[in-house]
Amino acid sequence: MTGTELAQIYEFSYEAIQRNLDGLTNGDSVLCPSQRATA
Amino acid sequence: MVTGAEGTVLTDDEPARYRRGSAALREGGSAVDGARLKNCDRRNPTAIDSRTRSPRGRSPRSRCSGTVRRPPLFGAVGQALVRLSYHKGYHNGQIGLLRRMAGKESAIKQLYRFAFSICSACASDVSVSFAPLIMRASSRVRSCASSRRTDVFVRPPVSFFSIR
Repeated sequence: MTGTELAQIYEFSYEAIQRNLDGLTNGDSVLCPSQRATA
Repeated sequence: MVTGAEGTVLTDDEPARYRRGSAALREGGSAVDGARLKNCDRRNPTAIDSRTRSPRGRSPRSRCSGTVRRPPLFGAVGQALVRLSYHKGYHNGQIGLLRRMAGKESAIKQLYRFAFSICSACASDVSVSFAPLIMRASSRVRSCASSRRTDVFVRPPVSFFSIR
């Protein structure tokens, strides 16, 4: 696998993570799952 | 870092806050700012592309340096990067679940139709369903009409019957 192909994998990965993090605040990022369930 | 690019995106003490066994992170506590973490790997694709082609960088076939030689970053640089990418995908799936638990809508809004599963005996559709791409079944499909599960076994093309 070439460096360019590896870079494309990481570009796809970055975009996928950005989609999952879209609209989440810093406060959301430190809430424990149990706190989320009762919030 | 794996490809020989200079510097790291976090300071020396920041990763310690996320090590296994560390104290829970609280809002306003010692957590690294979410917006900063979100953009940490923004430059990765460009860095990997340029550093694996640069004479001063590392080719995908070269070995990881001693400073990063730990799972999943060991062996050849290319293999380590593939391993790390797989690891990132696993965590991204977890983030997707946590996102839903935080009350946000799914990041995947488009639904993908399952591939038709054609019974090789009667040539009819045996199951069609809809699901997000991350939930696509790979070894078995479920009938919409009856919710009866049908095991599908992939066999060589020379084998005519593929469902039992």
